[in-house]
This record gives sequence, C-alpha cells and structure tokens, in this order.
Amino acid sequence: MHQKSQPLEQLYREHSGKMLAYLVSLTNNLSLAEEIWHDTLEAALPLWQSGPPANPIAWLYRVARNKTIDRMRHQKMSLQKGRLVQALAIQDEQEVEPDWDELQFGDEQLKLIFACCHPALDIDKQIPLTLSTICGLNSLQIADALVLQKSTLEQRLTRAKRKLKTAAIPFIIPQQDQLQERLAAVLKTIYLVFNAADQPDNDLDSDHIDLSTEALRLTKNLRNLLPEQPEISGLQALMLFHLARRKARYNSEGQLILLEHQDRTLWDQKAITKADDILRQALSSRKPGSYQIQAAIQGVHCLSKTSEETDWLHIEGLYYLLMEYDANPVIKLNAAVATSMSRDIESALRQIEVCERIPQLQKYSLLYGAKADMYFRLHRFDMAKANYETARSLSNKAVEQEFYSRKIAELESQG
Amino acid sequence: MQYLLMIYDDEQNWLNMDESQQGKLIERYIALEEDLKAKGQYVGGARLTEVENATSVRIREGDTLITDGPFAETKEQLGGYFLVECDNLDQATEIAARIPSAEIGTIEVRPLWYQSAAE
Repeated sequence: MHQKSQPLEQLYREHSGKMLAYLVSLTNNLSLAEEIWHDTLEAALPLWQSGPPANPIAWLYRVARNKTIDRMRHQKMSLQKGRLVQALAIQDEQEVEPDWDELQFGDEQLKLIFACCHPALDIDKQIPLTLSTICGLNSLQIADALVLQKSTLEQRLTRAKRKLKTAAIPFIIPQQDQLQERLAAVLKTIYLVFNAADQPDNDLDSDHIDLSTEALRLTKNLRNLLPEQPEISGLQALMLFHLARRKARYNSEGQLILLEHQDRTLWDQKAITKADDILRQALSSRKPGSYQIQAAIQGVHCLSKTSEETDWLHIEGLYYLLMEYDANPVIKLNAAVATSMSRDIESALRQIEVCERIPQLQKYSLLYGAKADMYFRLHRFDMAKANYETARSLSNKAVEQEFYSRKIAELESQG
Repeated sequence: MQYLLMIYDDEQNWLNMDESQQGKLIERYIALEEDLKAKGQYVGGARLTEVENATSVRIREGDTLITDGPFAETKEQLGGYFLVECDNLDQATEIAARIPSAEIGTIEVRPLWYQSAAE
C-alpha cells in the first residue's frame, strides 16, 4: 500500500485532525487528547525506524486507543468513564479491528471544528486553535504563517485550550436552530485563515505553510461532512476564484497588480471552471447566502475574457443583493466601485461620501484608494493624489503602501 | 458545572419605566426563575439594590480603605445574578439569552472556580 512509504510527519499532517477528533470523543478533553496523540507518535518513532508497520494508520489508532484506556484507568473514574474504558477494552480483546483507513470520524471532526470556532473564543484564539487542532500544523508553522512570535502564538493556544476546558465549551454539533449561525462563524474563521495568506507567490518556499491551501482543504473537508449546506460550497468556490488569479496578482517584484491590469492568460482556467461548477451546483439548491453571492461576483470577473468585457451592471446588482445577506459595510464601498464602472463616477462618489460616514470605514485605506481612482478617472489629479496619500497612511500592508506610492509618483511625474 | 450569570444593565432603564412596565419585567424574571427551578438548573440568584448603595473595600499597606461607590464606574452596572447548573457553556449562554435584561444590557457568563467539566 502507498502508506508504507509515508513518513510519520506526513501521517501526522493528514491524520492529526481526525485522530484528535476521535480522542476528544473518548476523553472530552482536547489537551488530554493532544497528550495522548503526541505520546503515540513518540512511541512510533523508534519502532518505525526499521520500517513502518503493515498498516500504519491502524497502528496509530490502536496505540492511541490503548493509551487512552491506560490514562483513564489511572484517573479516578466516573461511572460513565468506567463504562467507556470497559467498552474500549472489550473491543481490544475481541480484536474487532475496524478498518481505520475507512473511518472518517465525521461527526467527531465536526464537533471539534465547531468547538475550535466557538464564538466564545476570540477570533485571535480561534484561528491558531483551528490550524493546530484541525489542520495538524505545529506552533512554528502557525507562528510563521500568521507572522507572530512563536511565544505569542503558543500563549494564545494555551489560553484557547484553557478556556475550552474551564468554561466547558462543548464538543457538540449545534442543534438545527443554531446550526446556521454557528456554521457562519466557522466559515468566517476559515475565510480569515484564507485571507491571512494573501501575499506575493515568491514568498512561498517549500517550508512555508500556505494558509490558503489549508483553508481550502478545511472547506473541502467541511463540505464532505455537511453536504447539505450550500454556503460551504459558496466559500469553496469563492476561494478557488481568488486562488485562480493569484499568479497574476503580483508581478515578479512582488508588486500588487489590480484586476483590470492583470495578465488574464496567467489565470488558472482549470480552477475557474471547477469553482464555476461548484458554485452552480450550490446555487441550484436555492438557498443563497453571503459566500455564494461573493463567489458569483468573483465568477463574473473570472469569466470575463478582458477587463473591458466585465459586466459591471451585473456585479453592481450582486453587491446590492449581497447587502441583504451581509451587514459588512465594505460591501457598500464595493457597490460604489461597481457603480463607478457600470454607470457614472459622480454618483459613485456620492455613495463613497455615505460610506465615509460609517465608523468602520473611516480608517479603511481601500476606501480612499477607490476614491482616488475615481478622481483620477475624472482627471481631477489633485484630489486623486490627496486620496492616495490618505490611503497610504492608513494602510498597514507593505504591498498596498508600495502600490499607493507608485500611484502618487505617477501623478507627480505628470505634474 | 456551575456558571454565574451576571446581569449588567443601565439602572436608568429601570427608573425610566412606568409601573406596569416594571411589573411586566419582574413577571418575566419570576417566570424564568420558576422554569430554571423546575428544570433543576437554578442554584441561586438575587437582585441587587442600586449601585449608589455600593461600598468598596480594599486593603493597601495594611490599611483598610473604604470608599463610597462601585469597583468600576461604568455605564452599565451589575444589577443582579443567577447561579445556574449546566452541562456546558452552550446551555449557560442559552439561559443568559433568556434573561430579560440581555435585550438592553449585557449578561456576563463565568464558570465558577475549579470545576471539572463533565468527563
């Protein structure tokens, strides 16, 4: 079997989420589950040196299960726990070996995902916890990907696990009446993970964890676990549309290139087709939502052969539809940009004025970037320059600052 | 697991109500308490007097300092609490969401010190 050649590290990445889900279902305790999983790997290291066992996955699960039994026997046991240990031990004696390769622990995985993305945990805790527990990344990889000190990251993980345990955040699949709200929280976390990855491609050496790939893998997994939720497919399509354009998003110097100037031959047509298929299937269930509509907007961009062919009226309409599902004020700004492309710039600027009065947008650099671009197109270069300068001072992303500086320099050279 | 549900609300809200509104609010509180008792989730609860009656005590360098007023001057004051028995945080937040003052104020949910979660 192909697993024979898999190194332990790869097995760890692939099975960590599943294994922890399984162990949490036995122990109801994430920290304990992690300890057992790490003990299991430690036991595997010396034994596997001369070659892994015939079925490495079955080996790992069996050893982890036995270690769980040992741990529980040593602890003062509640009646419930005692029964569990008995059941596990009987399973062991009878040598009823489940086919570990086939077991997905779907419900257990879902429970763990919902716990890691529980709204009682701050998003700063949710993201590292999800990456560590569900995606099987180690602290160094997560700290690197989130541009955090390893010690800061580890502190957040410790605090997250402590709150999970102390506040008794449950490992359960939310009931039907709460499922939509809780699923929205999970999808939001995954999308933030995805967006944390936005950076020039050449930064991605082989050791670097690509968060966008992790987010995509997580979404695909979630979609298998909850097939009846079209918003998951919507998010998957949205991320695929974004990823399809990634190569064109930065030039060889790592500089940001706007959509209208991108070399569309660099777009990954296979990914676009796939995203389009997934989105169509999701939309056919007639339960629209924020991610499906966002994906539809990106789909219009991706399927336009040239920038000039973009159907901006369609995009503008989709943004107005999106406002009904999503209260994020950035959508108002995007709608204004669409208006400036589809109809007229003057009315778009009036919409921008309204946006400027929204507190969350007052210090939003992209608002001033959009405004600057509109003034530029109206040939009001002084206003364009002033707004690019505001945008640059408000942005905290190096690639954006560099982009605005280029624009300002262009305007200055024109006099 | 026991959780303390602390009810934070602007006292002015109560003072701005007429008698029948106040009566209705109290009825809702009583109904919630009865329901929690029937389900065996009620451990305790009380309503506090206005924050103007608060006294704060602290000992610094051996001296006991007694001051008039609450620990922190905030727009919303601790007005009362429920102590409830729940299996997990989701159950506790569900009860918190049924406290009438959650509609205008905030309910802070805190597990009591050192309890092991249902294992």
